[in-house]
Amino acid sequence: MSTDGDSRAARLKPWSDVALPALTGVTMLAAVIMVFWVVPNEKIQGVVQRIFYFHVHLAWMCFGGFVFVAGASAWYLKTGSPVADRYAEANAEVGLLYTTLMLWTGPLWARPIWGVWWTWDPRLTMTIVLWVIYAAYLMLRRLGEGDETIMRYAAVLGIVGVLDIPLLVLAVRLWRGIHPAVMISDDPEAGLRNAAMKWAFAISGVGLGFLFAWLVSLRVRFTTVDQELAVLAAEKEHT
Amino acid sequence: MEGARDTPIRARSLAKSYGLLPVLRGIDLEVERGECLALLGANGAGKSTLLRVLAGVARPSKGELALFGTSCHPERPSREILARIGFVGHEPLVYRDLTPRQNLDFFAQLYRVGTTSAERAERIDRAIESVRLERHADRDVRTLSRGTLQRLALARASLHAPELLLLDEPFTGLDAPGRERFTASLASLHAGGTTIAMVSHDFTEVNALSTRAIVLRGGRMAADLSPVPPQPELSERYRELVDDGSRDVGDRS
Amino acid sequence: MWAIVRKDLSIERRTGEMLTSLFLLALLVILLFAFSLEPDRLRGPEFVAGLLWTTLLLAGTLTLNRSFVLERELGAWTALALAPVDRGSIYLGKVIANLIFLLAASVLLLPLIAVLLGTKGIAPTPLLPLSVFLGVLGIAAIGTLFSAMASRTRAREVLLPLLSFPVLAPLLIGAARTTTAGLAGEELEQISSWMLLLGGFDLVFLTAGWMLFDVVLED
Repeated sequence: MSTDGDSRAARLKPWSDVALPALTGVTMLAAVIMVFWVVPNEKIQGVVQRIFYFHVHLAWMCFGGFVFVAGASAWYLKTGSPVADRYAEANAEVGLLYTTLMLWTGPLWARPIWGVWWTWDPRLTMTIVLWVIYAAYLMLRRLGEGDETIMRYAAVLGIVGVLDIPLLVLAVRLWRGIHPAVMISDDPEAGLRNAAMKWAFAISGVGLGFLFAWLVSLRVRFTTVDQELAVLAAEKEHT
Repeated sequence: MEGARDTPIRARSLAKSYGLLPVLRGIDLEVERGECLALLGANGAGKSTLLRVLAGVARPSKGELALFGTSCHPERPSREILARIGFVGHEPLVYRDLTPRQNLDFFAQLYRVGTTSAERAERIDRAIESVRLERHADRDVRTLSRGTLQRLALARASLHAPELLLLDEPFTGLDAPGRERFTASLASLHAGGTTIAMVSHDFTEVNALSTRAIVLRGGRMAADLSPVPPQPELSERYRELVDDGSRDVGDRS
Repeated sequence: MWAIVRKDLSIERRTGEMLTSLFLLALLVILLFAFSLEPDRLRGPEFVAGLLWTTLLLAGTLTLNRSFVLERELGAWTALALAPVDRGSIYLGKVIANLIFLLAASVLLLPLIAVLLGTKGIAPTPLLPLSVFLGVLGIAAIGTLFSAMASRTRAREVLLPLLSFPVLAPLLIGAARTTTAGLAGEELEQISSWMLLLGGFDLVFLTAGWMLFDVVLED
């Protein structure tokens, strides 16, 4: 039995079981209150601009998540540690969730402001391609059914996916740069004139960050318990 | 020390798990030059896994493994070590759409057999002769019978004159003449000084060839029989050790 | 490395599987485009280039699947993994073999597409072969790596396009653009950054594949 090390994650940990959900709850609640009741409407864009308090953070956090996937994948390939693999998987799942939310909140804002749900703007194009890459990553894992070789292949894909990001950025810039894109500054900082707005922006960032970490830690623990259970079941069958 | 440097296989508490599921739980094994070792065991006992770990197909999870005195874990076996090992797997490990000769030529290039292409061709001819494959050498592999394929597999694995030959259930699916021919080829390799380790179920063949038999159970070594007892006794001992009978023909762990 | 290339080529000589299916699939894709979109509107360098790359990507990926299926059959893959050779060169050997198949296909396809869609406004320059070569090399680099991985799973037919298309997106964008330029007689200065993008893509993923293949080949 491999009780050492692996099952530590299954036990109660004050940090991930108490602190993370508590911090997430408090900051997310504060963020929602700030965004919906405290901050004033932005002058030009009106009420829909409030979506940016979440949208912007989702964007960079999903990138961060995918960089973590690559990092954990490299770590896994180097050491073969199942923990690294679990972190790669968890980050990819939560990263994909954040990307989905980003692709969801984006059009909500774009429809009233740009007049269209979707446009082949560099960022949008890149986001949707990234979404597919990581959906494929998770699909590969699903097909692998815990096979160690497939876990390694997924790690390879996790690394290749991140290498693709700069090329993708360059390609979509060149591609859409030739045609006139929709010309509206979507830089949220420009609109954040008053202190309440800045606070709301910061707090929602912190909240989404905690949420990300909490979801990842839950996911990692779920996989750990799941894998240990599979081992126990297999051992039982053998004896 | 002199002998230790050349010991083909030396394993210390060798363990292998797939995911978290342990298959090998600490194997201590030393195989000396010139031995012919049979690995026996029931379904899931870990014998195929052990062989694959020894061959370098699968990597051990824990423990020490040295082949020919060179550590092969955690680092992977070096190219020099790989060149001294031959592996016959469950499958023949060749290309379906080439002829046996083309297959051997390809692998001869990978193993750098022969310095000139004439020498290589000659080595291939000899390998074909040694397993009596002359009649089939230029037919498509996909048209060959199981017995012929198995002999081709042996030719492929012994083409580079490995010092250590590992075989995974080489007798499965062979008919009686096929077995005989295969055993004869193996015996001549063994007589030529090749160290052999094979997973097998066939006590007759094991008796004919092996100098030592190891029974695995639940990923551990249950018995180390050297010399190999005669057949009835071996079957008896085996049944005692592996209590769930011997319904393990063609198994794969 | 060259032993692998020769081996793949002699398998191809014996079966003709890769090239025939590659070409027929590509032809079908072209027909599908003509049927589903109004063929008379598909004219000019942009459409020829777009059609070429969509076709190469679709037919190429489907065909590259075979590349490692034939390594898996009868377990040759394991023998390859055990051979005392550098695994990076096994990868490069497979890439070169696949590159040869894809190049042969594009040499056949490009004139065919141009003839089917009409050659009006087409004035090929030396940029065209360069663009085709760089684009096809990228498909081979990614396709070979992922085909090795996909061949392990039961859903490999679906998995290979699923893995490779999104990763190939930047390459496709760049290849379509440079091939258009090459067909329309544009100068190198106008598309130099595109060529750099293609070259960069090839370099990044050939290196990545060369390094990561070690991990892929292990069972």
